[in-house]
Amino acid sequence: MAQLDVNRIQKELVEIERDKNSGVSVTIIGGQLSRLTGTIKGPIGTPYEGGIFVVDITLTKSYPFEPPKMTFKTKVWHPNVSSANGAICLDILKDQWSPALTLKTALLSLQALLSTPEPDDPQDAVVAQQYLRNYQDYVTTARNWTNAFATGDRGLQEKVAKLVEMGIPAEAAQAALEKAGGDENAALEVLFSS
Amino acid sequence: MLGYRHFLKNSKQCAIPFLTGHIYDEPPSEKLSMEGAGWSDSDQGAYTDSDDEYPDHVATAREHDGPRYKVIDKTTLLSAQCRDLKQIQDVLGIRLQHARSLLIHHRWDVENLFSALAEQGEERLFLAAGVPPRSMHRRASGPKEAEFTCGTCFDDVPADSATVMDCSHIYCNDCWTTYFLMKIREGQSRRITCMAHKCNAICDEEKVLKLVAEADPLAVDRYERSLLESYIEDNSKVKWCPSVPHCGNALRVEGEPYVEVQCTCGLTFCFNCGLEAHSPCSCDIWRRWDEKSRDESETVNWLVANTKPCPKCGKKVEKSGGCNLVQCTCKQPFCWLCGAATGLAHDWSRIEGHSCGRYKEDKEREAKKAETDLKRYMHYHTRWKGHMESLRLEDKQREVVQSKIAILEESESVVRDYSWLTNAQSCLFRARRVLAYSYAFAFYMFGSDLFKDDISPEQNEINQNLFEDHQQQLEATVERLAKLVETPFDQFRREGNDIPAIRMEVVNLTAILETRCKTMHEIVENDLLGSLQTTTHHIAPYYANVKPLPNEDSATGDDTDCGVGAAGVGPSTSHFDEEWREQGAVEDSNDVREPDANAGPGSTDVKTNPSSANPSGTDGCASHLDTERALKRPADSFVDRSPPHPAAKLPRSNQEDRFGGREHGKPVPPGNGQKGGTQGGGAGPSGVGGSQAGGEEFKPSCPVCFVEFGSGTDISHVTAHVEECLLAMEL
Repeated sequence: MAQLDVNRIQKELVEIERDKNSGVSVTIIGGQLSRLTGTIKGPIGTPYEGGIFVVDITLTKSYPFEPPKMTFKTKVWHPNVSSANGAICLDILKDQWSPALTLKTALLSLQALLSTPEPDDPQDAVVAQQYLRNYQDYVTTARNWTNAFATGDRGLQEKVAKLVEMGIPAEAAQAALEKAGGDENAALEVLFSS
Repeated sequence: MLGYRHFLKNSKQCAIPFLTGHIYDEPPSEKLSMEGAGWSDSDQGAYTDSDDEYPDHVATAREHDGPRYKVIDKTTLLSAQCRDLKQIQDVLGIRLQHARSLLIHHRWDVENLFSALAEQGEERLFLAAGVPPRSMHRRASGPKEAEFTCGTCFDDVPADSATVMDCSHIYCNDCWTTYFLMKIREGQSRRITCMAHKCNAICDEEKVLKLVAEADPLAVDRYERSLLESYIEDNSKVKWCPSVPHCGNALRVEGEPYVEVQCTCGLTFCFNCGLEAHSPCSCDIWRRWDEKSRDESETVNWLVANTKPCPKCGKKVEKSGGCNLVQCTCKQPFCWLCGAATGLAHDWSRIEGHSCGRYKEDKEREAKKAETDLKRYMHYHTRWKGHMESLRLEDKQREVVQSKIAILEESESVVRDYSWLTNAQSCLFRARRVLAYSYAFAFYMFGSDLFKDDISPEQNEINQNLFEDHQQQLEATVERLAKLVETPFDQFRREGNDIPAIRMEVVNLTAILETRCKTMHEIVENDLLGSLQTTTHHIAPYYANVKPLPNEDSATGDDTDCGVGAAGVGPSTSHFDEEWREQGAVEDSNDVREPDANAGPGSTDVKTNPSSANPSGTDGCASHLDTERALKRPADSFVDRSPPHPAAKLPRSNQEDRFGGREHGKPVPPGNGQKGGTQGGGAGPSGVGGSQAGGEEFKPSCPVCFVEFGSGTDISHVTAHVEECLLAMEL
């Protein structure tokens, strides 16, 4: 009870490692089983497609009898995820958690949440309103955020490099890209209009 | 303390040469201490006989004329819930734990459960409450293989160290135990659901106990206690007594929550809001009054509206006339409108060093309103406070009167029984309290903004007249009786003739006072609060007898059937007893109120001697019931507020055994000519303040059918008539 159930977590990690097609992965941070990092592939056919989303996982000593604490490390534009700090509103991470669930199932649930947002029970009210009132805008923003933040450092660095080649200072290029949600053309517009 | 003195001087151009200063002394609202105010038997509450919504309560109220509630102590807690559990078990033919799950889900409301059963059917009812379908109740069996993989720890475990729940989900014993212990620690003992994802089934009590007992016996106690106390905490009809330190009792009300109840520990409180008894104030009104008298908000309001801080020294400055250029005692001139510092010169168009010239009418109105409000509040508060003070003093008088009685009983007076004096005193108590709280009520009912959308100003005035008329009559009667009770009876013992005369007057006044209190409550509930359109306010009806219903739940008997340790696993009820005594050692984290360890020796008595804990009250109020029954009137009769014949209200024993022949042909004139009362009124409040027929000869009348008798009618004749009437009414 007072000890982390190492046995179970290791079994879980083995299981995730074995099933490589699931689209989720978990790695240990700093040799401690209580701090983990999970990744989810953005579901196909959604604005999150092509993105790799990093999830910060903290396990309490009571795990699996208490739910794991999960937050998005990657910025996500989603009604049930805080655009500011990545906090997630998902029932199974709260009162609907069951000890029979695992990190893998929880991450898969997150993946499912990405494809089916629940704007009626929002974590981020602004996103939820946009989702309900102006769906197309939501899709665009979510895709831009995915491109900007979820395609890994490589994506962003490449775009910055391109802009630098065009004679723009690296810092300004990065700021403009972030402002434009990762869209190169929009970033150029931002840069040249100012 | 906001006392200060501050003179202001207008500048020379002003028409009015001086602005007066004001002295603010004691803030008007000093919170009164309620302690020692002798609340113990001064409260009441029940169902008005005009309550159409609850006809069955009216019927039963005749048998027990008082608030319908019971005190549940630890000896009766088990049997109290046992009855409900058994009822469900018998009807549905299910196991105890399933009955418990159903009842907890339906907040121990058996009727609600049965109506849900009728509406939704058994399957949905069970599903919602977390009870597995009936088909699964006995079928669940262990894993078939010798070894299986636990879905929680992913270990392979032998089949005999795994447990299957009613919902047929299997996990290993270690995982179950860890899970149960965690849930019990979190205070979720009452609804431990199965570990499987989306499985809503409540875990089998016996299996929980068996597994937990092996790991942590303390957790077993908490689990059991939590299940038992669910009857109190998950039950809208039962509440813990709010006493501090906690007496360990709970009270169960049958019917509406608007009732004032008295715990066996002596505390009287409003069942609905858990605060001190406060009728004729509604819970909302009382909360407001209490807050107001606590935080002196009225004084603050007035200061904010009427004064401005000097921009230099910060003292509060009041302007009572003159122009808007004011000067503080510190010689700083400033603009009254915006409060900014200015020069000393002032003309029609401008103030020197300042350009603010706007005049704000609403601000002025606001100031005026705040001043009126404060005056109103002071008016009501002074009276409220005065009566509360009297109440406190009269509590001290109690012992004095008792010693007088003792002296009288030793003397050889013609009167042997002095219960009339004790009765009068408790009646005086209740009436004084009603009177005091009626001022708090009046403050909010008339003239405050609370009901301005509900009542037109004209109607409000009519209401106020009606109310104040009754308040006045009540006040007069209270003071008369108060004076009478303070009579030095003990010095009368040599002249035996005086006592019967005083007794007669006291008994009369007591009866009148009871009626007046009752009427006051009825006016408030029916005429004043009853006419509100947009908001709902209710008060506890007045009852002279506040004793709880006799508690037929025995401490022994079929307890064992319903104990959570029924399966013989783990400690059973005796363990629970001990736990109760040593409260405080372990506490469920979300247990709202635990019986306190400091409950004192009184509570130990309750445990060791169940008969003393049994609040049956049958000894004390047998003769009282007759009196109360005589006072009871048909539902529609309350518009006629003439008091019943005083003699008709006397306890029968008084009339038959102790009245000397002398009194028989001599009906006593009523206190202050209330006979006229407010008869002319019909249903509307226009009947306010009927004629005061002070000099009129008194004619006895029947309180039930209102037939009047001749002025010289023999009292025994009247009594016989009243009894017949009552009998006919009950039939």
